[in-house]
Amino acid sequence: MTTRTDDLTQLTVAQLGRRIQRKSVSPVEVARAFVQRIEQLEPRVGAFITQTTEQALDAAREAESQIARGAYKGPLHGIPFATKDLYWTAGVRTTSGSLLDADFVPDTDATAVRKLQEAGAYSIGKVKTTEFAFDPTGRNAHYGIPENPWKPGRLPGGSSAGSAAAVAAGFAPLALGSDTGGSIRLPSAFCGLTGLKPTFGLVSRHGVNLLSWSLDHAGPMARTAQDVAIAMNALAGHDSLDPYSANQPRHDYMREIDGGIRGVRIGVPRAWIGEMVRPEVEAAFDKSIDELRRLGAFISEVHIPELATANAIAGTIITAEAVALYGRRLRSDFDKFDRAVGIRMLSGFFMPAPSYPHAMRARVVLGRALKCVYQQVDLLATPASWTPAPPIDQLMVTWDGREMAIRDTFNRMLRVFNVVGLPAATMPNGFSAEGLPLSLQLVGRPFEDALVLRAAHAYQGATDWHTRRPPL
Amino acid sequence: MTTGADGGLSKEAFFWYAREIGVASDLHLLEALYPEVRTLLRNVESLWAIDTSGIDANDPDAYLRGGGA
Repeated sequence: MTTRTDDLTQLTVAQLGRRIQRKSVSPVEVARAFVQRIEQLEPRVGAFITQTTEQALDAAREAESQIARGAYKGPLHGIPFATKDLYWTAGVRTTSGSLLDADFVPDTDATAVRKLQEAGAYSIGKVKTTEFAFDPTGRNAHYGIPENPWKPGRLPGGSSAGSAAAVAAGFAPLALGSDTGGSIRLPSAFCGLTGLKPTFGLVSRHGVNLLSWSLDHAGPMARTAQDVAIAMNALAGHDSLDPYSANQPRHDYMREIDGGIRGVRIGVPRAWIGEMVRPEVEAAFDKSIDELRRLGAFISEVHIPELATANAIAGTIITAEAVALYGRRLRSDFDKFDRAVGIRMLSGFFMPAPSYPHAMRARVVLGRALKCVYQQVDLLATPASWTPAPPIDQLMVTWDGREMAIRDTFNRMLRVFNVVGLPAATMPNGFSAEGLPLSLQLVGRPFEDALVLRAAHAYQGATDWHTRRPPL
Repeated sequence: MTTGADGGLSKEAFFWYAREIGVASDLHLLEALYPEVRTLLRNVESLWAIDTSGIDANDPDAYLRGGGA
């Protein structure tokens, strides 16, 4: 199914923004359309933990009044967004997908939430995350798993499961997610969206509950790269409240988005990819590479043996930092944890002490290897996932001749870029035989997020995968 | 005692240690935790194939940041 232009909930941020600016539709009409769709479909999709309908309608009325007074703020003015329930929202509970924080009501907004609000957007509700964002499937024993809008019974991906389900279902055109090992990119991939894990430090994490302080990233999820760029114009920037925030010059992510990719050098780590993807994923990826070449990019194969070490590095760091953050609560309140999450976190107590500092040094080795590669190429391209969204009840998979928890296989091409902090976006690049979205990942140099989005936008200008909508 | 039939951490040793450090004592939890810990230890073990001699963990290449961070 492709975009229905008469239905406001099926439009992109850019399309809605143009209509609001031209006053062919009002922010209140936009808000009502999304609220009505949520009322109709939320019982099926189950994306939300807390809906903030009244606050959303109030914010839409305020936006309408501001625009009527001539105080138009830009393309996010009057646009609703879904907020992963890991982000603090003043006066609205922030559960982090946990019973332990079920009654936590922050008195301030996360910086990212505040910045979207200052640009005129407003939150339409808090959406599901796996507990403390520590699971890539989207499962949550306390609040339930959102449905993948493309096919009932399939995983939405996580941990930003509600963010992905909400945008794919048409509950909001934009969502905030977070990504420690792929948690923006995987659910975007499974739900047919475009998601960006920005360069480490580019988007403030102040007020986003931590899972792993050296791997966590905050970022946007939407239908198109253009919408992600619009959101990045509001979100990016230094924040003294986040000790890891980068002090970079301000950048307009929309300015060069139509610049195309003629002459851009794209590297494909073929040997690394080839070992781990399904044939239909590989076929879609190959077509994407052909399309990028047709658009003028120079494609070359790159060999990066160090990539094979990335999962061990990432797994060690995330487990060590997570147990450091949540260890006290694990000891005192284990029964309140989602058992699957609690057991994985608990395993961190058994990690030999030298492992963490060794992993922190090994990430430098990986970083240096990638730095060399980026002297030859401007972007790397990989599939986002080896598989489209698997069935919800599939827990195990045979991998490399060994039975493994399927959750441990999802992020193999994603979390390497958390380890080294590079900007990485995933975007739809086809559909499986079962009608499930497939996805391409593009990865750039530090703080070259704009190039990543420009390439994604060029790809979306030549393909129509991002215009398709789930058959809800 | 500490090594199982496959050369990895034995269940008996794991149960003893888990109780010793006060992380878990419930038998069902220990049974569920054991394979997780085995997976984690295998993962961690593979890290030692990476030569990190002469590397400072605070090297800016850890994050590949372009400077100014």
